[in-house]
Amino acid sequence: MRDDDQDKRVLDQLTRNYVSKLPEQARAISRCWAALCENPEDAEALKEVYGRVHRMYGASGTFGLHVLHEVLQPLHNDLRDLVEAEGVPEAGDFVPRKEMIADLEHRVAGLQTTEPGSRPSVARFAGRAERRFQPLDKPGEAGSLREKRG
Amino acid sequence: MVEDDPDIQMVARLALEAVGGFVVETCDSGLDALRKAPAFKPDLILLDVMMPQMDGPETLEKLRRQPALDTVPVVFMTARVQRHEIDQYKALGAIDVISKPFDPMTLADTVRSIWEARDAG
Repeated sequence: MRDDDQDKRVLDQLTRNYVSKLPEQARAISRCWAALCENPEDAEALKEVYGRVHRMYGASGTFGLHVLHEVLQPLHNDLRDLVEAEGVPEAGDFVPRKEMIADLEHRVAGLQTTEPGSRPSVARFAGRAERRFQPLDKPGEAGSLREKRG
Repeated sequence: MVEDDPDIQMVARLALEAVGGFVVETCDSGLDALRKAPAFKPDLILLDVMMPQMDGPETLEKLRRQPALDTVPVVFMTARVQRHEIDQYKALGAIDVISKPFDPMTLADTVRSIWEARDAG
């Protein structure tokens, strides 16, 4: 028999796991960035940094970390432009992004003190998943939800 | 669902299964999708665009070469959703594009809407 709280717990745990991995992910971005700055013409290194930022950009928004997502957006877009630009980037092209990268670790560290489960999007999602798995003999929203869905 | 990011994969799976009631098979690369899809026989494929080694468009092209999968509807998932990019993805054969980040709360409804729009068309 399915536990009604199961989905909420699973989602909370997924979010906590994700947040707990962010510091290492941010450090990895910094390391890749440092390597790229030493070797600006290394197209694979640039793609590696962009790929890592792209992942964090997408996942942070999905997990409801909207501030981090917005902070990453200009960095993400700048790196995308560099990846797609014709020709080899020069060391000077990386200067404007240096502070963004440096700021990332600080912002991510700050997230460790927040409570992932308290974010509205996660709570709403968890609540909806719970309703779907309400037993059929319980009156109320679960029934109407199923009716609406046909 | 073809998605290389394990965090996104898990939350999307939960969203589609728990909220949407879909049966979901997950693949962590284009190659994995090419291996699993013929046996799973998906009704619809959610395909991440940016993946290492084999990206979404290349995966779609290879899926289309398999007779059992040449007509399966494919929806791209991407953080890049400018108008011309959406048109580009549709020209490649995707029936629609879901933008990332997606809201886990509404992902299943979005997929259902795309499916119904396809049915209506």
